[in-house]
Amino acid sequence: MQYKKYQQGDVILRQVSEEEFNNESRIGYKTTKHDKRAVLAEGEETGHYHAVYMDDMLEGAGITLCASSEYDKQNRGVIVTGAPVEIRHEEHNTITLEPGFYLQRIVNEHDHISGITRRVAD
Amino acid sequence: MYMNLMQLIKEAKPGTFLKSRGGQRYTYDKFSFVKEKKNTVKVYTGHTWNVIEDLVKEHLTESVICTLTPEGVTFKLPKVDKGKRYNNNHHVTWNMGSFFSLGLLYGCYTRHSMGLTLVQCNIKKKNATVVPHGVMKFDWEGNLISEIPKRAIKQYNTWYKGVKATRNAQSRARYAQQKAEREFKKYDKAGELDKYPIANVFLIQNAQLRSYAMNAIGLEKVLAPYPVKVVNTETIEGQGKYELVDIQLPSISIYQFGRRTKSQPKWCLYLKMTNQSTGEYHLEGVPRKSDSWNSYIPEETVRGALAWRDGEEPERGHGFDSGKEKVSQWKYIEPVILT
Repeated sequence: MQYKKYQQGDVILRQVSEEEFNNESRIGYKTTKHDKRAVLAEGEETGHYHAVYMDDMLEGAGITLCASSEYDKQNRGVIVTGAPVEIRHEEHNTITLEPGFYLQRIVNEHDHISGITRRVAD
Repeated sequence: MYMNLMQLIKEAKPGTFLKSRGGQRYTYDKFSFVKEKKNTVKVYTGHTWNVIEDLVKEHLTESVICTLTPEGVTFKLPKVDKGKRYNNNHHVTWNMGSFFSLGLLYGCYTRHSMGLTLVQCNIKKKNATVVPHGVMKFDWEGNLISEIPKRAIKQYNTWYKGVKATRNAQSRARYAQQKAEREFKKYDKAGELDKYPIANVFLIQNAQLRSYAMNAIGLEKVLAPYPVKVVNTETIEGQGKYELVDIQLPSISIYQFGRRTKSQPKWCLYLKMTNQSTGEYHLEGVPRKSDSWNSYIPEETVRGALAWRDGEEPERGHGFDSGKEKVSQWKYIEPVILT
């Protein structure tokens, strides 16, 4: 499968078609209203965010975050509408997402000490 | 005529029956409660009502899962065929779990742990875990009133010892990880990083802090005590240089194939890279086939490690096909933007 991939640190965003996005089972819960920022991922230890800041968004731009349920803390999909949006992070350069459908995941890491595979924690 | 289960046991005429389906997780199971003789109801199960009807007509006792009396419920669990046994269980418990799902016996259910099926029930009104055995008799409050055979007690003790050992090992690992992080922060604050035990850098679980520690102490200094082999190197356009390195870490005890292996030095694969935004070094662990049964890098190259890291590894079979990965199907897709 070919798709465009965007990566900011440990967050990977795959741009997919609307059909493919809707076929993904883990994006049932959608949030369109965000206070100051739409947080794609939050650093468990550092408290840094991969986020889109609402005040700096272009006119007409919209962002919808998708998770599997209301209680799912991990964001799994992003829908960008109207105009491009910028994702910022304290320790990475900003990336710009064109309007479209994106599936989100966190990169894997294997801990040789405890012998388990997990999402990278930062 | 409407009647409840106790009325069926005590008052109904022989031949009278009640029907029910299984509860949560067992909704496809069907039960027939048939009054056989005075104060005795036998519970039959099958995949369809017709099958159950035939079993009842033919009085096939092997399809009876338990017997109900006013005093309680008695299970006679069939033995697992030795030739087909693939785990530690000696008795078949599927139908028992299914009966428990009806909620007739308070607080009773079956569960699985470390390759063993266990029965959660009550003994003298206190919650207890028991290894299933031949004849198990419960009163209507869910208390196990039959005697537990020595073999079941021995098997339980072995299981409990294993659980305790795993829990303690995980707890020790967690404590060591937290201690490593705490001490690093302390030494860093005091400006005495040269006193920090270098081996503890690999114990730091937080990727951001681990990366910071490696850069603060110096990657060469961190890796200096250990034998290191460079397995593969590749420069990817727009992403910089990646190295897949094999580091021999001392004394790693891992939980594999149901048991904890002896503590010994182990070659561990790490992907060495540079953060494109800050220029800092990163070391992230990746598993080879011997590290994990279901999730490992498709080949020992930088691209193979990156594909696994980004979740683009090949599909792997299940059951009999496990381990037969379709290596030709995986491909590392380079990000258009990486920061």
